[in-house]
Amino acid sequence: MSDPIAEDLISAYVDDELDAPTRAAVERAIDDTPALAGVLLEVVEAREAVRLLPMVDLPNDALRAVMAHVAAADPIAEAAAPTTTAPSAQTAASSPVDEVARSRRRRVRAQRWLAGAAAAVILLVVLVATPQPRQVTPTVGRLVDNHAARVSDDTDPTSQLATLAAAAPMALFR
Amino acid sequence: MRIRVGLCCVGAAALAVTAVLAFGTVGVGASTGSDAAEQLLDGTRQAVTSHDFDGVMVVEWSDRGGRIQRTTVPVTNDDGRLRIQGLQTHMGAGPSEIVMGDQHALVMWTQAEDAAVPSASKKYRLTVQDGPAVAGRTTTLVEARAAGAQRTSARFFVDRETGILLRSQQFGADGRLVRSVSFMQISEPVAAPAPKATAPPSSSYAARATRTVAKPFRAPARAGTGYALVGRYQMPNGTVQLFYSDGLFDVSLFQQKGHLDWGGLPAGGTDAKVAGRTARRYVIPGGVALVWDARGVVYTCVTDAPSADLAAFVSAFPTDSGSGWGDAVDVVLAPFSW
Repeated sequence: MSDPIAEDLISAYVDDELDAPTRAAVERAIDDTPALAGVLLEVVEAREAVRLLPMVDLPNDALRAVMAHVAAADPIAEAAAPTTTAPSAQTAASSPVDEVARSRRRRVRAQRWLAGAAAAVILLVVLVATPQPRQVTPTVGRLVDNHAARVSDDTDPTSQLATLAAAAPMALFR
Repeated sequence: MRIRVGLCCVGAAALAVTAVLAFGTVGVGASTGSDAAEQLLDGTRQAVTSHDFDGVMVVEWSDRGGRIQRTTVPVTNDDGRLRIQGLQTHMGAGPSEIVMGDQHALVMWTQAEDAAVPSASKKYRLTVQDGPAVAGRTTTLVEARAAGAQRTSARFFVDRETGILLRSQQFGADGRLVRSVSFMQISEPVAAPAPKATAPPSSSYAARATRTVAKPFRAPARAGTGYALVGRYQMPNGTVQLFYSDGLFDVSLFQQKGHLDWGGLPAGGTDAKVAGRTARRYVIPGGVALVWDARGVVYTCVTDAPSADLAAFVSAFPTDSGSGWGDAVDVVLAPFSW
């Protein structure tokens, strides 16, 4: 995509916005210039990707799976899990030093939960924005032709073309 | 079936023609070595481009049920244009010379090769001997047997006078005929004028050589049992073709981004397991076409290689594993691991 003019022309070509002479000129240029053919491919793929942006239905357990990953990766959260037991009198009467340490742990825990939440948000964005892989149906008959043509390019062509001619009535080639 | 073993320059072509002439004048008699076999096979394309002829060919192949199918096709080779029914190829001089037209509207334009075609004698034992008459013409028989194999893999019957390939046969591991392409009639070949160099024609389906193959596609330099990457090509629709050869048989592997729409595939195929992959398999007169997908890439493999070779070849490419959803979670959360 180094030439913005070429890119614009190719985009217009893909959108069928060119007049006939310009369109023909662009087609000739694409045929003659592999780099332009590459630009065409990129433009077509980009359009296709946008077109295929999905309406995403997340799996029922998507959020639970994310949070499970976050929890599994947070040792403090795990350590805090057995807080169902009542605090002891000794804990209640802790020193100012203990209080500072607890405060620090709370801050760290909050920061880590924030990071986890950020990860969850990023994951959801990725899931929504990533286009679904497109469905492909190879034109098998044509690819068989391509193979035979390539083989024929440097070997005896009669036997290759004869097998293609014999294959022509098959469903593969209709 | 490839019968060229590295022809890439005028010198090699001249050597091959010289070999044909030598065999033509003195005969062969007892078996001779692989060099002579390779020279004979190398010369078959040159022989077609340098002679005009008409003929009728018979194509036989073993279908998916193991039954032998048979059909005949008329052939005309006139002034560098080889026509077989609705197909034609224009054989010009130089490295880029295939045009197939009419109903198939296909253009194949090769500009460069990754590597030389491997020598067939690295994998096969090649022998040369006097062959039987084919379509009324005297032949030299080249026989190929894979190293360690008990049976012949392929036979080539080369016209002793012109070097034209008159018959090729391929056999399975059990010795049964898998494929045969043979002239049943051929006119007396007449020397043709030297072919002219041709320019790439304009086509919406031209496959062009490419130096790079971007992810998610893969292009290993070698795959399976001695198959070397000889060429890489890209079509305007993004399909990448990798072309491999072991010196005798060829494999094209086409790769497309996406997931396979199984329901959209043409009729006539059967489901098959090949090297652990679920695939749709089509038996065609020229070999086999195999379609499957893995990790967001749809693969179509077209080859005349034996089935054992095909399975080993397919193993060189990815298979599906793991869960996409789990992978996505892992990827996103990885930076937040602590």
